[in-house]
Amino acid sequence: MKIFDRSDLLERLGDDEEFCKEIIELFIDDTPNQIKELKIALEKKDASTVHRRSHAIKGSSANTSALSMQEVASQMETAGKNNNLDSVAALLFKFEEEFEKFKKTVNDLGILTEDDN
Amino acid sequence: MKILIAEDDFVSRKLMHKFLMPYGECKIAGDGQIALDIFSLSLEKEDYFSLVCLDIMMPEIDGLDVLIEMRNMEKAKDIDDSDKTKIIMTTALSDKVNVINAARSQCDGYLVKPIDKKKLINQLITLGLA
Repeated sequence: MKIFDRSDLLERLGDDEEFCKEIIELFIDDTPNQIKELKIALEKKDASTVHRRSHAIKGSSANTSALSMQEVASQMETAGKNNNLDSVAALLFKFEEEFEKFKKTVNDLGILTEDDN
Repeated sequence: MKILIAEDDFVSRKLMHKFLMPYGECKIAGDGQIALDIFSLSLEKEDYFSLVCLDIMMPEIDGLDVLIEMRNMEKAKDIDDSDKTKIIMTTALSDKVNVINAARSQCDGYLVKPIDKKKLINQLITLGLA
């Protein structure tokens, strides 16, 4: 599974390099909040919120062409829908790992400057 | 024109806002209830939205319920067909077919996520908004 599909993102965003950078920055800034909210819902054993949060995280990952994160979020969404919260908790751990890989990938591609991290 | 974007995913909001900004004044709602409140206020003021982009799956009130409620509000106010808001539903491929079918009769178009600038603009052209 590819971590990040740069050409897909560029194409969907109308070949606007600067806007791609902006979207990646927004995604990197806001994803920790999404993870935190999902953890809170998991602690409360609120399956409905877990399902919706996972769905939104899947959407933001797909919109950023963060493919491996999208895949794990999709699995979390299904597990949340089936009220299988232990699976979501395990997958969330994997999702956080994929997030670290994503950040490293965009960093290595030189998309973000030092100050952005 | 006036545009309302109702999306719970922050990246979708940002993308839609950026792509729609050149076409009009955009208002943004992070959940279904806020979207309904904004829409209701615009009807009261008779300052109608030309376009609403509505995520089919949102917290508080689901996009499908928001769509039905918006159409009910228009009906209650006896809005002319020509003044009715064009509503585009944004969906993930995984959204249930029956949900999408239920929306079909009441909305004007669909956009499958991830959001694509060209596809969005093509929808606007199809709806006569661009």
